[in-house]
Amino acid sequence: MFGKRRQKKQERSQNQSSGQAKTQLTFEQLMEKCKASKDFVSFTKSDKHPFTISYYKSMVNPDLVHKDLIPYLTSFSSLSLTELSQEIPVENIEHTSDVQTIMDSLLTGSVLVQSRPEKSNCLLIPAATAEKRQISVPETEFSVVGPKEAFVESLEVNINMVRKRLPIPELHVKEVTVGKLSKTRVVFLYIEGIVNMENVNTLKQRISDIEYDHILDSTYILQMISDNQYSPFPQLINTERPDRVAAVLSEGKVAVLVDGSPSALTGPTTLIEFFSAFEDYFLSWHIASVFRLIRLFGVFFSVLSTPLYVAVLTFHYEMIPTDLLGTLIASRSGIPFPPIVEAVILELSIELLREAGARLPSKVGQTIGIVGGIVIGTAAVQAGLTSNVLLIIVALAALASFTTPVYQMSNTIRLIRFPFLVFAQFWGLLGVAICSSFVLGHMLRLTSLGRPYLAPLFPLRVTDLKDALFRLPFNRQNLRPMQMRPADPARFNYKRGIEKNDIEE
Amino acid sequence: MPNTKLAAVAVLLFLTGCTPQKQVLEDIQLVGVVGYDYVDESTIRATVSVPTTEGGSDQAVLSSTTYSAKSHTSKNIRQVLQAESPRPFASGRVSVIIFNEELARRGITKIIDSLQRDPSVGRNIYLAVAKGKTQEMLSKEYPVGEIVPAYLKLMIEQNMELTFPRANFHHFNYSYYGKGSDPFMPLLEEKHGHIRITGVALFDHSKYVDHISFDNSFIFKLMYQSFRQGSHEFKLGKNNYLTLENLSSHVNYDIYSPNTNPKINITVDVTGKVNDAAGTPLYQAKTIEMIEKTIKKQTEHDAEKMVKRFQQKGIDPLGLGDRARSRGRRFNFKDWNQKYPDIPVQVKANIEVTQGGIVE
Repeated sequence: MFGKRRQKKQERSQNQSSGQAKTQLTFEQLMEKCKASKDFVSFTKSDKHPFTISYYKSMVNPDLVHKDLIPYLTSFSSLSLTELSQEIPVENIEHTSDVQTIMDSLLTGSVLVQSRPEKSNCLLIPAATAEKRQISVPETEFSVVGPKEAFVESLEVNINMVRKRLPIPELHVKEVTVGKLSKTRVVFLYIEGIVNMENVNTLKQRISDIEYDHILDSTYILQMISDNQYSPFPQLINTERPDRVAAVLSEGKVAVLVDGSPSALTGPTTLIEFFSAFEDYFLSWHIASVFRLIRLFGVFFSVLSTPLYVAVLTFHYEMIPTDLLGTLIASRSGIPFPPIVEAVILELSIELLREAGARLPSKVGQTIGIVGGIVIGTAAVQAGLTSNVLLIIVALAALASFTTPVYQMSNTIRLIRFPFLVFAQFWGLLGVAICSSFVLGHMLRLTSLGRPYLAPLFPLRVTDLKDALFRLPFNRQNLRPMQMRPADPARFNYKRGIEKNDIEE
Repeated sequence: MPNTKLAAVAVLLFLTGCTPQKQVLEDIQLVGVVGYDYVDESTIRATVSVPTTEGGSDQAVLSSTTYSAKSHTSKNIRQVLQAESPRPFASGRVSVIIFNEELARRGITKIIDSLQRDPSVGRNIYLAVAKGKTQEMLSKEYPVGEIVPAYLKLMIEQNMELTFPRANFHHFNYSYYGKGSDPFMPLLEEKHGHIRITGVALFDHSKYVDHISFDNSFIFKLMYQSFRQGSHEFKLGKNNYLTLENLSSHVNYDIYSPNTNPKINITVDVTGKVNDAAGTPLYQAKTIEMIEKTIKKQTEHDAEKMVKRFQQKGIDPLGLGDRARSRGRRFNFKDWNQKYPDIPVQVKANIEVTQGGIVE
């Protein structure tokens, strides 16, 4: 039954795609199409200067056209197109009559120059305007010390930021165009000789297989090329820090940059990597290790604290420490709801606050935080709607979830708390254990670009533990992560790395 | 794949009732202490002490109240008590169970049996015997800053850290169901508006038969277990006393020929500090030696007397029979019980005074 339906579906989709296959336009049709848009300009300067110039004025840099193009065209009006292309001081000029190329170039900001308006033989002079934002400070991955550059929306600038950190010819940049409508340029970066080509090929194949009409951000790609698209866990790291990208490239990972997106994707990745902030490498290794452990603790606390509260108060009153019993009974007495309702109300109000804060302009957002945190919180306790113990737990759990350095992951953590709550309500601690098994089982099956997600913990990669839960000092980081199966596993010579060449006094 | 989905739907539809019973913290009465009193041959009275709260959620005051009822079986009492309670009773947080002296003398088998079957009753709870009626003891208020259940629990707990031998429900079960040993419990008494431990209540299997005074519980504990705290008063000459604080004590049993002609040597090594020796010059090595000798003599004498008393009564709270059994094979308890009153037991105490306070 299912088989038949699937077959039909496939047939239908094949028909659709063949129906949309590119039909060759003639040059005249193309011009007609373009002229239908208001921002398309096509003109001949004067009879003396017979070149016809056409371009999308919204796409080209007017300065370039006026200062560098039109003066040359008028002064060399007697030359042929080939000769002209040698005179104009712009590189990458194309001399073609292929309609498809002409269309693509026009739409990406080239100026079309013809010797006569009806002839399809023409020059394409790239004059794209690059409107871009100033490079600014990272917003979601802020660090107190260390570089404070973040990616912007321009692909060239982003590649520049990576390449200036890795000025080697082995840093390869490969480009693919995806998206039927958006024709988004997607590049992936890797260091040849370090990266395992299997990773590159997997990524390349997945990106070129993408079937979608518009790709507007790298997060689109993140979701489309994930190994398991139904998983709530992100399987590639989305980062806005060029330094982080440079660092993972040198580990043998692959990075993806998308034109128009201020963030890069890196992979293959592991669960542990989501809890390592890049700032960990700027601090001394003891401090970084402790912070990593605190973040991991924060995750467990954030996911489990409210469910445990519900489970213990609903089923396991025996478990409450005697000294806490009085406080708990006192705070719960007179509250009209069972623990689960109380917990869901508070969790939801925290989520509401967060969502409201994220959607509002930052100045109003702050006010919302204060109103929500202080006014609603205190009022709810005084009105006897929630217990103050739970209020503390929920607020701490929310705080703990924000310690996760990768935004996608911290969203996931806040989400998976809710199934835990449901299980805790129905089966108590047993339910929490069952739900944990589900989550753990799911994570065990997850892969990132085909590499296990829970490594180096499972499968155990002892050598990779040096930069997992703890971050050992740099002189111990002589091997690149085994997880990536790098072509060149050694970062530096360990013996020379630990040698001390200081002059003895 | 469709099968898995079907199974998931089936589970959701048909197993909706398969969830454990909810016991929301504030919707139950947490019983803190249960006291059993003797009424007549077939009837017992049980009194439960329950913590209650008054006031709103932010300034609630904890107090305790009691419910009391009589019946023939301990589980039925619960039903009767339920009839006057606003919320169902839950026995998962019982911390102390007290038996009235008279009831204990007649045997507590019935109650123990039902208690140790109940999975919701913990094993690290305390059992105790009370002089007088437990109903009266529990329904009074004591100005100690704690409600009755917490008061009793903390009082027993901290004494077991010090001079009182360790005895919770788990230890009780071990010596009660095990051969070659008899249980003991703290003996409580209400005096001057407080509850106090007045001694060790000794049981002959299920019946309370004898007790030793609280003063002597230190000597008993020395022989019963190795421990690190507690103190005891010794007589030093006429009208002169000193207190030895135990820093570390270690007990060792040597049991010779347990199957045929048993002989038991109990060696107690005590390292202690003398912290109250009115007027005795502790800086002299000679005095210390003298003190050690005196303490040794008194300890050995008191301990041997105590064991003799156990043997005469035919009770074995030290678990000598159990210790003897563990020393060899083919141990015969019938034989042992016959020989028990006449087994020579010698106590040897090695006392070492290492400290005399900060001014030595």
